[in-house]
Amino acid sequence: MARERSQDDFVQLLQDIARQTLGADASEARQALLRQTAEELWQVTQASVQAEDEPALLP
Amino acid sequence: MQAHLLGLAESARHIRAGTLSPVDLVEALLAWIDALEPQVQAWVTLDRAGAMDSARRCTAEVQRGQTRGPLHGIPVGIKDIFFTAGMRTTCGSQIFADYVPDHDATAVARLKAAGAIILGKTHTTEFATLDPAPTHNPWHLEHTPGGSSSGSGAAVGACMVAGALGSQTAGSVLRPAAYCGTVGLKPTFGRISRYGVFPVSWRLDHIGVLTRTVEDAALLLQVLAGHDPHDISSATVPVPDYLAELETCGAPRLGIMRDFFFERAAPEVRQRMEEVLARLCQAGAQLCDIPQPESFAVGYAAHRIIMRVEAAAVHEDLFKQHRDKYRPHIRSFIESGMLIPSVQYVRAQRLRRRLQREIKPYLAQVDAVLTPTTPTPAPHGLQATGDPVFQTPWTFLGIPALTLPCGIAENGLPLGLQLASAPFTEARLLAVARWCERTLAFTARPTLVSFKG
Repeated sequence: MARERSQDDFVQLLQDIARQTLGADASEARQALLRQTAEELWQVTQASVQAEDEPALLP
Repeated sequence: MQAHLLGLAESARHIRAGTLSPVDLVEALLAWIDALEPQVQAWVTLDRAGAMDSARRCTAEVQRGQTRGPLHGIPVGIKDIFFTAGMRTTCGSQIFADYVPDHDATAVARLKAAGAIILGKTHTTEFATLDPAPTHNPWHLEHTPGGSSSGSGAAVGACMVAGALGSQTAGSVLRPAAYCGTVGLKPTFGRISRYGVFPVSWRLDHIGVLTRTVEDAALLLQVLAGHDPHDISSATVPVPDYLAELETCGAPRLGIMRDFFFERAAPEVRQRMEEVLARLCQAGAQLCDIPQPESFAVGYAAHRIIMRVEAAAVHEDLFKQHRDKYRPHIRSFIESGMLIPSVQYVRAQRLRRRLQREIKPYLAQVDAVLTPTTPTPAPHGLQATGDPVFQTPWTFLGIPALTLPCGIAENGLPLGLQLASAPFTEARLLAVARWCERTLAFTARPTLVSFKG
């Protein structure tokens, strides 16, 4: 339930940004894209990072 | 001698010994391409005249006892996102349909300096992302060759050329290599310069090679690896002698990461991989199970976020001007990248660092991690290029990965075995791959090649 709520929040957020930056488009393809991106954002948000995990250029 | 069947190193040995001329080699490959290209469609541009001119010059030089380098007189293919001076570079996009760069990508310049002949440009998906090239899989024409290095995979698999350049942001070297039954190598991030290559994602783009043998992959890496001041991400780590170390590997210690890869593989792929593991074990390889690092599963999502955002940034200006000329998948991909909050983008970068930290001790325990390269053989249809899920983790981590053919699926398409190792251990990785290649002794060729040959 919490997962669904959280993902819905991301979908809502992305829809808002999409309306402002890309214009109105309620197509099924747009909605599918937003759901997929929201799922990725949700996963990334749930994973924890530590202070030492700074972005770095080389592996 | 069937010159089109020779590998890079084999051709080089013949040319040095005077038993094959570069002119004969180029003529043989062009004739072979003429026979197969109408079906396979691997090439965007074939530089027949330029290749023959170069071949004649190389032949004359050999006759004078001169050679330019280890690839003297050897034709290669170049994925069409690498800039080639005086030769069209379309990036698989109608926006660049007539674009002719005035300089070579560093990788192309290094090949030329080593004596290689640029035979032409191979098809790529649009801007090396998702919308497919017209290329067919030479093992079965109704199946995808994979992507985005579609033409390079098909051309090498169909013996139109023995080596080609590719690039990988998710799985674009190893997947077409596996689908087309070739060797594919994606070295460590920064090992090969990306200067002059149209980017997909600055943090994730790697240059790689497709060949038919591990020795040839080592030969190309030897030529291509090294620091380039034109590429800010280029590594300064010294380049070892990959060819000298190729035959130094005894039975290796291989790590098997079952959780992520074996669970997602199709039953047939899982079964074939178990058979491969049994053969390697019988030949002396030590196998040990490696647990899946905690953050491994989220790596795919983090990778996608970085790739979406950076692709949107790369295309920001071009997209504003030519939005209608972008095909549907890349258009959606760019648009999704524009929506992602910056904090999540940075978080994805931090997850990359976390996963690098978590996997380091496991990589230190083994010579290489072994997995299937793809969850299935090349899927039917040309509307998509297959699933990058098995190649993406190593790209995300920036560590070297290699695929080599290890068997044939029930539908007659090849299957690949994927090896990955710690950063900048390509010499060891290639030696392990050479040991596996010798042990598995894969010799099958596409029916198209065997029939026409």
